[in-house]
Amino acid sequence: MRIALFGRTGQVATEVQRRAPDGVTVRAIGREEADFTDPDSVQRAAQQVEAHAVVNAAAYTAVDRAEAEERRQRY
Amino acid sequence: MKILVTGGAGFIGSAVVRQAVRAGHEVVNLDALTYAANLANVAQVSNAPGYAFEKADIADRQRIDEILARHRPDAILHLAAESHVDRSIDGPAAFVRTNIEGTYALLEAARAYWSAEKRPERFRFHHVSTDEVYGSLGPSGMFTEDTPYDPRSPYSATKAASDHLVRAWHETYGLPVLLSNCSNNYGPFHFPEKLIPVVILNALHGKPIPVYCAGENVRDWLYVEDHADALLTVLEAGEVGRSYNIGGENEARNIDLIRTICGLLDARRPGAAPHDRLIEFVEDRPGHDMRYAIDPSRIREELGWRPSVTLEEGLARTVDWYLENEDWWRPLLDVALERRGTSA
Repeated sequence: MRIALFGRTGQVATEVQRRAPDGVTVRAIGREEADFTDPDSVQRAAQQVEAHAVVNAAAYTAVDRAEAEERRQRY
Repeated sequence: MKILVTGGAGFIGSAVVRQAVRAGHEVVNLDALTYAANLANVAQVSNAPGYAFEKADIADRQRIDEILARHRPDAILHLAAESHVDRSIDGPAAFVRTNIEGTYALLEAARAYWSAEKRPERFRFHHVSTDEVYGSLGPSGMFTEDTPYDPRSPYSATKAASDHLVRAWHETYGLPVLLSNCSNNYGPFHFPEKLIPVVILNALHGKPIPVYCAGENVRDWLYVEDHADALLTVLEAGEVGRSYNIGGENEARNIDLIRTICGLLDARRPGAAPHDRLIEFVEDRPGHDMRYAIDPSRIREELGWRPSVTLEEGLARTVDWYLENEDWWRPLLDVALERRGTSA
């Protein structure tokens, strides 16, 4: 089984990659490959992996900074 | 009061604009004039003193900043939205953009304006939303303001997201917001892609009246003029940070509603009776919510508001309006006959 994992360097994404069981290939996709502000780039990245499942672990999580920079928080 | 109404050329927005102007408010009507907007909806008041129109997109932050600074409204009544569930199934992107990103941009513009004006206590940002954010009901129960959010269509999901943003801007930045969630509206100037005008216009043209599934779905119908009155009541008397459900106290199964409209047309156009012979059962909308019903206790008890017309009265007025206003709907007719929402 191949999983396209959006988010690569974050806390959750890192742990998902580390704990993937045998038989499960996790392909982590970082923001330089799939820009969440550009839906086409996300679709291309997921297609390249030919994934059976998509896990979205990409998010903007710093609440205090989100209050100052709402624009990025949306993606 | 000077009210900036977004979506004021739309169906509900234009009813608000007409009533607000007649009530003596100054009104800035801000509308992007996308497909369902129509300035003919506000022609009755467009020469009134204190009325102004601004063609603008709520997602265009610079334009909104400029309009707020120039008009300096006391309140923003936010109705601009993509609203047709079937269209949201075929193309959700426009709903995400306008309903979520547009509301976000408008909130930020409102916050900047409100801060620049030294945070006036009386300022209000009133966000108009739908009962569809609460999901679907079974045969019993009603939506209260405390019903957990459970949106099920792309449309209602984007409206739910915008509601959450508005609450967050109140809790986080102190913006004085109000929210209201209404049931299904109907009445004059209803764009002919929604159920009631589709039924009226198809029946008038001897075309099939499409009924999703068996017409068992139940909606709580709110006459648009009553809704506009309720919105102005909430805007003037609502408690900051609070949500108000607005319903018509008029639950009906779609099939019964459609047969009532057919009966009204039979009485007015007996030559073409019975109109209900045109009813045609078609494939259901994907994810079609079974029942919506509003518990109107809060707005009734706290603000003393109740709807003024029954469903029968409102439908009769609506049918008569369509019969008398062919020049309004004639150019929109092609839209009424197109089936949408089947691409899921």
